[in-house]
Amino acid sequence: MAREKYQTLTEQMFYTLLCLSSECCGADIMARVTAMTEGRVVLGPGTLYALLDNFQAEGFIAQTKVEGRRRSYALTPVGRQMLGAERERLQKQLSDFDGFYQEERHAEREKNPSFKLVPAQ
Amino acid sequence: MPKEKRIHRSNWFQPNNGDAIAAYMEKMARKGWLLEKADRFYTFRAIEPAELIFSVTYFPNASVFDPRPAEPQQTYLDYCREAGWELAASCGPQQIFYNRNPDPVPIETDEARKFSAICKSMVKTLVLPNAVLLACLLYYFYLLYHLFSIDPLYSVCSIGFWCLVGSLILLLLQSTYLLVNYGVWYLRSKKAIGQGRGCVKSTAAVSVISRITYAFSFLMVLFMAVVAGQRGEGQILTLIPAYALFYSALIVLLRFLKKHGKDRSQVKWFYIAIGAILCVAFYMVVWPGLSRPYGGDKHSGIETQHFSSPFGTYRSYDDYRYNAYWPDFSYKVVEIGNDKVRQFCWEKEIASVTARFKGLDLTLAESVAVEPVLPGALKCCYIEWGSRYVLLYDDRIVIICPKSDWEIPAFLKLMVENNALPPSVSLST
Repeated sequence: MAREKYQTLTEQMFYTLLCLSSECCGADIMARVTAMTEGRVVLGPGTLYALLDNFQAEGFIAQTKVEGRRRSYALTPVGRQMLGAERERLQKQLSDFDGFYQEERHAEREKNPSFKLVPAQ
Repeated sequence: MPKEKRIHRSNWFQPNNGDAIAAYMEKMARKGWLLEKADRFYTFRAIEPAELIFSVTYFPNASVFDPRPAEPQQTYLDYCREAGWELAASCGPQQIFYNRNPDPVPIETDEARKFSAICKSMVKTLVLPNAVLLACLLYYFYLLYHLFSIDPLYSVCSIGFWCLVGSLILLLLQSTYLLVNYGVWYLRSKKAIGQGRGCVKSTAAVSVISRITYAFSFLMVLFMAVVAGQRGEGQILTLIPAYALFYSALIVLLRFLKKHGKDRSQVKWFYIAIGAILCVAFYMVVWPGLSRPYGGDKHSGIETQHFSSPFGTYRSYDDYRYNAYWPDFSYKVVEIGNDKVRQFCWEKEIASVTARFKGLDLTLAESVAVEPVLPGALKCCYIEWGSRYVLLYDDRIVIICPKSDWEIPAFLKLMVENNALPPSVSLST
């Protein structure tokens, strides 16, 4: 299935789709992603082109405006659903993580009241 | 306005050798040369020496026949420009960018996608062309072996035959090497990507090996040409500039079509059509014309062919005297210095003629040893149906083909008694 490869999104896919929650010119996405993640995620132009091309082919985004060679895109309902599903997946991961460490924390606190759990980096 | 200074350099790099190409371009920029055009040759224009960062990427949908970037490729280039990457030149799917920022955002930040783009491009530009070339070369080798089996003496002494064999072997090695090298890179990169690492970096070693192969090829052709020149076949030397001219014509043709063509399909089909005409003209007219063996008349107007290779010299003669007491006959004298080659050719020649007539189910095709052996000859063999008398000497093979009904011993006796053959090729030593 074509969509199987998008069951989990890479960070670059995730932020590209997030940028396109509102209409955005393709070329501006790179700067937006860098600003949004404070430089943590870097999106190269070649990768961006390939992502937009694939997303459009899969129907996750649609072209909304063409000004000369500047093309703008926005999420389609399918893309929005996809991004929402990814958000839920990430949130679930986070709550699983928190739940796991909360149990550990309780158990350790009962043994040692001064214990502070810091997850390994 | 003074004309901008330009230099040209050969493109020795394998198409998937992006890292080595980028490193080379950075070195040239530091020397004051910026890449302007890339195909079989790189064209550089003079600039102020600069520390530029180069990156080689692959756009699978681009083609060497594109007169200008198509719409999707333009969008790709726009994105790159937005990140500070300027296109220096492109060669089919291969795009060579430079950036003035010393620490730019890489063009490809997803290694799996980068790998996929390289692989798609390589199928078109490296794998398919070389696979087709390999198949053609193997077929060509089969044809050459067939040619050798039919007439081993002619083949062994033909400089054209050995030039062709040498060139084909080099092409075969080059093509196999390119495919194997790419295959190894593909497997190693695929494994690395699977483990979450990047594509394997290519080094300059590939380009060094390509240079060695081309240099070896050039030296071999030069050697063959010099040997040919020394043996009075200097005309074969003209094949080298002729081939260079033919090859340059194809490059110039593509550049011209790309400059004036409307779109990819127009450039492609014009190139294929004109290229095919040039190919036919070169291989059917120029090549045979220039590599034609010398047909002189050194010995009383009866020598018909005379040519040589590093392995031997081939001379053939016809003797027609229109005399009732003198038989019509033709003969060949093939001098072969190496004992093993001579022995091999002797056996091959007899096997070849015998096999040719056996194909017609003629029992008379059997070769028969003939006695007495002529003075000086080591072995004599008569192939009755082929009407050939094959003599092996310690430095040459002589084949006599009577064209009339003379008895072979009487025929030979007559020739020796009358000193019928030129002294340099006499039948007795």
